[in-house]
Amino acid sequence: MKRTIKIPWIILLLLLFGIAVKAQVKVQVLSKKVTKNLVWADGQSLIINAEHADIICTTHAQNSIVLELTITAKHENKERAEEDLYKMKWLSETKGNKIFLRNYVELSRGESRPESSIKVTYNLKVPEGCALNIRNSFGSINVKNVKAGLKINSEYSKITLENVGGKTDIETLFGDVTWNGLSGEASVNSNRSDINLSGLSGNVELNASIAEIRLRDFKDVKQLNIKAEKSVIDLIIPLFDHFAYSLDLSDCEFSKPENMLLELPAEKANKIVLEYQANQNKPLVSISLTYGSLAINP
Amino acid sequence: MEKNRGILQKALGRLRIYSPDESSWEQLEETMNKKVLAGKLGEIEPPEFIWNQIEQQLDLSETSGKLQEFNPPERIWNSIEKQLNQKSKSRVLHLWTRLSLAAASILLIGLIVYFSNSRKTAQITYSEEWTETQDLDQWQQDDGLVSEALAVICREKPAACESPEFKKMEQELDFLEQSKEDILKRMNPYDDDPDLAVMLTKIELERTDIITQMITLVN
Repeated sequence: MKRTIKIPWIILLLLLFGIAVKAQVKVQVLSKKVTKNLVWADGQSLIINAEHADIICTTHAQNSIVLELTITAKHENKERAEEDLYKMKWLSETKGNKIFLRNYVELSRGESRPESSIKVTYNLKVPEGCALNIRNSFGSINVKNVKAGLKINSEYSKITLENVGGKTDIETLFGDVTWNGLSGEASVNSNRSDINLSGLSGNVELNASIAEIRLRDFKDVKQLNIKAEKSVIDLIIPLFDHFAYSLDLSDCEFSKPENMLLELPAEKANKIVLEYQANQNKPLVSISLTYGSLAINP
Repeated sequence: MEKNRGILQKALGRLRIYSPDESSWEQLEETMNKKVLAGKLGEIEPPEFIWNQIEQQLDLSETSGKLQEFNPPERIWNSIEKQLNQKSKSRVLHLWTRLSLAAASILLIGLIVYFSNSRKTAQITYSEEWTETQDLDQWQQDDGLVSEALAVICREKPAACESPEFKKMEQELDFLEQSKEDILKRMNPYDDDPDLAVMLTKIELERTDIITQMITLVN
């Protein structure tokens, strides 16, 4: 006899979306601000190892790194907030051609972990020739005008880039990427992070899992490679004929401009493999997608 | 006996006086030194006349203490007094220098402490704000239930739970639960940044989707 298992899955779903219980309280906010000028020499790179940090970085026409660091602690109890403020430490160090900046929680013997909400803000101005290597978690990264090379490894941090060129490598987990003004060689590896790119040129490579990918204004791109799974890809290309396309779609929905003459399978197929304007010496858009949807919009 | 004694004394008086050469004394001294060093030299009780001689020497020293006293001229005393005054002045000067240095050091330390404290105070700003505290427990209310429900399903249909598809979804669920745990560990009731809450919502949506798929697959 076949047994039927009655799973109270509806109850589970309802429980998953419990209503947030919130209460208004007055919190004491303590902030400590530090300003530091770091000497920079040609060839030196800046390495930031941060946590709970908002990193804001831009360039200036000087041979120095200007840092304005703010640590903020919030708690209902002022003394507690002050104690916790001092538990968050920071340091800067120069070793050869590397300048290190770091923040971390340091506890003395018998001290408990901070109860306050602690946030660190790095406000940085770096020389135009200074390459950056940023590692951050539970914060945000905002980089502007850096052209000498950028490497980002982040978790649970939003990434916003503006006018960033050179060689750029981004690895992100649960951190959406918004990039306006991309040039040079860019590579983005993302997991559960949305990617929003505009004003692209140079070579772009995206490797994404569970993402909403939106690209617009990329007529100057030399090559665009997207490899994704469980993702929604939305390309806005008014001059779609400017590119050659190589598509490999599995279990995907696909939509295209009407005047984009592609021979699609008559019936709905699980796999679509096709090329458009291949071998015409045009910049190539190559997309490989498993589960999801691709839309090419004029 | 007395007769013999006279004879013996005469005979001794006639004996030739012999003095050993220098090398013999040196050898003797060396041997003694060695014995002394080795601690092998035996104790000898000196004869009475030795003690008498020592006594005489001591009396002589005592007598020498009774020598005539000599009073130096006045100018010598003046000179000594002058020198003593100079020394005492220089000592006073040294004392003043030391005290001044100590005072300066204390003042300097005080200034450093004062300025470092005042700088610290200047660097720290303080304000108050109203914020909505977050109830973090709400995100974990169903966790136990989901695990229990999946355990019940897999007890009922173990074969289905061993399928590669189910295993893959189980792995994804584990990853999401680990991510959720990481976020909750870092979240604070006083955080005013909504991003983490948004991430948790996305995780919960994906979890729900996977749990639903797992249940569908088994049924």
